[in-house]
Amino acid sequence: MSDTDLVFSTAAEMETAMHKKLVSSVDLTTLYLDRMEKLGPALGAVAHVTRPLALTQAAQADRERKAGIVRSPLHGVPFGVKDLLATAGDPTEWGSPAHKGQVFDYDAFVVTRLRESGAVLLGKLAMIELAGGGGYRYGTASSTGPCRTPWNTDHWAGGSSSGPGAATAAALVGFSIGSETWGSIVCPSSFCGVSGLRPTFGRVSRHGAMALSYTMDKIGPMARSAEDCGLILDAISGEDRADTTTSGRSRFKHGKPRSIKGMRLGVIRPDYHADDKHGHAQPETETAFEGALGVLTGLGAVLSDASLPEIPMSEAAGMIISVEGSGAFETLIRDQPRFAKLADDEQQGGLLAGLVIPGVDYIRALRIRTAAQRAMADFMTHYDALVAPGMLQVSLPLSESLDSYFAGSDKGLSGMGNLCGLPALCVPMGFGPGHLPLGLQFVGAAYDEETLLSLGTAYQHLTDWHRQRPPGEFGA
Amino acid sequence: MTKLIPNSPLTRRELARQALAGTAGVLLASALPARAQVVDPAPAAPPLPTSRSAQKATSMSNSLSSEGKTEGELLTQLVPVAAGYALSETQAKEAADQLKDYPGGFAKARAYALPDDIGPAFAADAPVRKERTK
Repeated sequence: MSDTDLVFSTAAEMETAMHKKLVSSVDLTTLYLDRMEKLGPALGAVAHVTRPLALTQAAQADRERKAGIVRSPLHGVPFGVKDLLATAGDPTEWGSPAHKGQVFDYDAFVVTRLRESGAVLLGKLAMIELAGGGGYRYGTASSTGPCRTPWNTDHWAGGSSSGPGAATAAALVGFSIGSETWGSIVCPSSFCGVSGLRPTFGRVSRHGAMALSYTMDKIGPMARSAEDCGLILDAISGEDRADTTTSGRSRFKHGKPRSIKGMRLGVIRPDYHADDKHGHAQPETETAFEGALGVLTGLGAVLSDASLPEIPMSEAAGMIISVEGSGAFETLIRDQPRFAKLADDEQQGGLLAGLVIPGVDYIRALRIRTAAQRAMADFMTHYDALVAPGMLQVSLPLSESLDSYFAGSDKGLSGMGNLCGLPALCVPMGFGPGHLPLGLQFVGAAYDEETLLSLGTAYQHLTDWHRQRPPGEFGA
Repeated sequence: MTKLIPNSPLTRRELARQALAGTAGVLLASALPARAQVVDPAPAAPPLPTSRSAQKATSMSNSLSSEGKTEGELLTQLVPVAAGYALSETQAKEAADQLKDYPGGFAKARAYALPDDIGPAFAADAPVRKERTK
């Protein structure tokens, strides 16, 4: 197996290779560190490399394996985390010029969990500043500059988990950890051609993670297969007293995927023919999506068109993020010299605007969430999962404003899923204009990641979109 | 203490203006339902932090007029007050841009009929799951 084949392996394959003594964790870690340092700057994907720590952890993993100790299927597998997760003693700058030099003296819960699983931390990955809480106009809104998809470096990697998307797609890491409040895992997974899982709200502790929206932030894996996402979720899920939104039912145990034969899928079809520039899916999205539906049908899934309940869910989601974001960053907002350092004017304006949103509107949004959760719980009794394109279009050029791009409609799926805290899995489903990746999204009932992972794994058994590598040096 | 009771002849706009006499009340006032009533007189303005920005905030409060303003414009004027300092021109413009469409943008949610017994879902209220139909 060549070095390139090795670094583009899935986490599960890497563990197998280490088990067969074909490669050591130190070998793998060195390969990834070299790629991070060599290719990371061109992609703008890396915030901070933890080389000494990584090599120490890798050596320990190898020693333990030699002694017969294998902590988990991720033992010795190198990974990176979005720079909103605290790692003791390293810079954790949240992609924000206003937080330059910020260092915590403890590890985030997920970082601790992965270390205990034997995985090897390579470093911190780039992100949109403050996870884009106040909004942002360009993909360049980060202290590390623009993050580019390795499929075409003139185009954006997506956000706000930009670095995890780009770094995973270009094999700078074995897998990564991102976060989503509204679209921040699904979008970069789609734009970069990786598999990303947004867990159910409350599955994964946010302790040690930057808070943007206390009631909507979720942390999840971004990897090179759906199976990997399951393995990683197994490692990072579970109750944590430091985050009271987790509970006894947070634990996810990854097992053998279920057959998808007979599964009922509700198809949320995008508008293929809307007039506005970005309000519709591209023709290539339609072709790829219909092709993906054909694969799922061939696997025995039963498809029917579905429409979400008529509840203003996206409006409520936007309201909650706006108010909670301003609450989370209130101290920064009031520190004008630091606040003015934020890269994107829209970010500043959005955080300021949230200060004066009427309290009754916020409460109304929370009440709408109650209604929406109940309605969606009823709705999902008719389906095993919903299926839709991850994004309507391929990644846009970095020079193009995001304002018009995100004005497009996904029929409210992302707003609904994030408002209600439902899980979603995005897997590669082909390519659009400019040979840029397209994603396929499954959305499930609360705490039913197992169904989504079964669907994703079955789909990836019959397709090889997730095996495609970016062009040029990023895929070599 | 100021109590606010529904079904008052006072408009939301007027309440916002009154509340700006004391900056502490501004957020509460802007959060009022469309019609409400001031039972007790507004409290005297609390002492403000001593700084140039605080003085500017006071000045802005005093100059705020509700005449002819849309809700979005009013909210925009409240931003510097709520922030407690004078904003740069760019910041004020960005905040204004984001607020000008806010009332209309949330109108659909305001108009959505919610049963009285539906309360807010907070962070610890986990997402709901029901068993599937066979």
